[in-house]
Amino acid sequence: MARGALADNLTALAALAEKGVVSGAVARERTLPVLAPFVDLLPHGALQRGSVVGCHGVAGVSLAIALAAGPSAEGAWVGVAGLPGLGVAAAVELGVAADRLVLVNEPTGSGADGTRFDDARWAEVLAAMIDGFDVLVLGPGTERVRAGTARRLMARLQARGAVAIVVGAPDAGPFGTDLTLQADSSQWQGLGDGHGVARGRRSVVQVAGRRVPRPRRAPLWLPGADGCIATIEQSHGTVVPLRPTG
Amino acid sequence: MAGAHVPRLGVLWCPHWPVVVAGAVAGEPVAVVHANRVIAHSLAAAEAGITIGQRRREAQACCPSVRIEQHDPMRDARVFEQVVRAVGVRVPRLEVTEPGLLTFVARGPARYFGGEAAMAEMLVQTAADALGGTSLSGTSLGVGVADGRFAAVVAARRSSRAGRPLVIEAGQPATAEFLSRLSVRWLSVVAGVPADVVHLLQRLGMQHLGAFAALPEADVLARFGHVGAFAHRLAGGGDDRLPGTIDPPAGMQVQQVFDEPVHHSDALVFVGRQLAEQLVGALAADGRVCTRLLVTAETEHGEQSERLWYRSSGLSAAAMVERVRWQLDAWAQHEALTAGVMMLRLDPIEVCGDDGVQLGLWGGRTQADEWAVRAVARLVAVAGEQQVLVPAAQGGRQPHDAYTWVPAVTADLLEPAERLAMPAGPWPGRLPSPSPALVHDPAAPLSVVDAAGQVVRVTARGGVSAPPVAVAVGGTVERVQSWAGPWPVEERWWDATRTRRIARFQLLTVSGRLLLAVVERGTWALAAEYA
Repeated sequence: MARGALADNLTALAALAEKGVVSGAVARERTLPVLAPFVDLLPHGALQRGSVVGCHGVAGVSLAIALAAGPSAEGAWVGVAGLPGLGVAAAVELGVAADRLVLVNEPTGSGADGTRFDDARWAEVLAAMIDGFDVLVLGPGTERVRAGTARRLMARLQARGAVAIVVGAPDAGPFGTDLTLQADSSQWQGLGDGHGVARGRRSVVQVAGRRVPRPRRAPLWLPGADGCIATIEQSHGTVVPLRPTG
Repeated sequence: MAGAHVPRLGVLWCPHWPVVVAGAVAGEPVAVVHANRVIAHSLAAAEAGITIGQRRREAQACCPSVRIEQHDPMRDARVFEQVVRAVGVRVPRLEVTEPGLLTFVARGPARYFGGEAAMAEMLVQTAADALGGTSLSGTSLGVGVADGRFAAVVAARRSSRAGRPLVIEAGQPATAEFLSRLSVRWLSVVAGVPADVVHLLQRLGMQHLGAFAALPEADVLARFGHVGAFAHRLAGGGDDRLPGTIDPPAGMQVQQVFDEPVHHSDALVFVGRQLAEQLVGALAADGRVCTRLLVTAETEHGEQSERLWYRSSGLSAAAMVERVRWQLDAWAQHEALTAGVMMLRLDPIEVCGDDGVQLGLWGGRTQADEWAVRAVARLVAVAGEQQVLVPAAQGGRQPHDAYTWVPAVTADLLEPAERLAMPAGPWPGRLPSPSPALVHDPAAPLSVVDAAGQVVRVTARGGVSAPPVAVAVGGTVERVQSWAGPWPVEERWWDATRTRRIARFQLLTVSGRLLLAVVERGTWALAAEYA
């Protein structure tokens, strides 16, 4: 009797362990790695495949590029749409591999450049990007995509397991975000009144979302003096120990 | 490795096959390019100095009259099918290594036709007859018989030059003897050993395979790693299968039996893709990759197409699908099929360990790269050639100068080194990092005023008329919190028409936007933004 119960328990335990291992492996496969400063900020310390991440605030573009840099360094391709004039030098400094970077530019609609993309064209373009690239960076240019089209694209994104990083004002675009990163209180260092040169930006990045019960925040160099993103070490003031009096 | 059984193989080689298929006539310079690189050329083109691996533009510079043809593996395979079918009547279990190159086990046919030399003669005749009707003459077919794939392919290529079949005697000493006088370049041409390894061998003074083979195996392994050890084994006439090659366990094959006969090859290829991904996934779970694959298709009326495919570096899912498509298209074209296809099967005949050697032979391409390249092709079709861009380095002092965006169709996506090599500096006056994340090209209009509301000017001595106080950009006016500059740049002062004299500023507004502004001839513009 006792022996039978033990065997049952063992079987259940083994099944659980197996389940745990499997789900762990699946979780790893279902994520994309990020740069070190983001590991403590993001849930699971990585980008969830199939999710949409919003990057807002003054440093939104740098933030989006820095998020894309992690997967890019690991061999993923990054496709950028609706963000004309992305600075390649800045992207390379932040860690994006330039040989796996593709930009899709909407025609400006003037001259021989052709007409701007309509909704159907955007749908085709973004679908092709979802199929081919692991990371998509979507700029304000994609905000004209209709809500229904965006829903279909997000379903495709989930099926394919890519990640979309949306840049722009919060809630401006049609893509519902699973996670939002807000880069605020930016302070540029090194710039004076007619002298100096910008050497880096201190920015506080706040992460909120459905999977984040309490918003997390961290001060980051975005970017730092060498163009990279880095965590700013919190400097606590010198602690003077209390001493007894009298 | 001593005593390992090295199979005796025969190889039929149609030289310059992509060029032949492109319809080259004798004396016409033709080059076939893939991804902007020459992959095959005619004899006349070679005389003009065109070589394999050259860029298309370099080839055109060598020989302006050269006809450039895009590589079309589908067409190559389709035309080659007539040779495969003719030879297949005489020799069983043919293996199409690539269009233009057939491999088979020599033992059976040699016995049947009365010796290897007789068999080789017969094959040349058969293949030449098959090609005879078309205007594909002018090249001499090569047949080589030797121990192992490497020696057999080399023999076939040499025989094509000599104009008669070449049979190398059996046994490792004879094979090594044959190879010893040949250039080490064969290693990269035939066996896919990386070209830099071969160059290194040449620079070390080893011009011939014999000299390389004479080195102690342990030293080669220590100095060149597994790739070197593999190349060393080839040079010595040893087993040229990749290490860890085995016959796969039974039951690895995948097949699909259709409820309804399928008539469209597209639908079959689609199923083939699913099967290929399933098979590659199952093999990858064991850390293996398929090097030899048997593809079988059968119609409702029992007509069957069976073909063996080989790729030394292993067949990826995409490569399997490609071969399924070649086979099905050729089958449908050359046989009047009376019914739809009922069954498609992929059967791995030979698998080997998927290790670092594979990646080297593959050139470091990954599945992600293949997907991305396909996506770029699709994007170009949807969005237009000028709309899909990739970065290229050009070097310069302005934020938009260091890199430029070029249309993806003009770039080699998988060989980006040249495109992204930054021209040697120095670029004095270049702004230090961090670089701006948004670059406006052309620069956006901007207006900068001082406390009196006057536009700020840059003096001839490199000063400002008054400190900037407010900036108007894109319809909004913001106060300037701090600023730096002007940093003057004078470019090409030696050229009166192209000279530029500009001054740059960094302006930080109270809302936290940092702008990179330029002044040229008294006009302000927004060059970039540190977004």
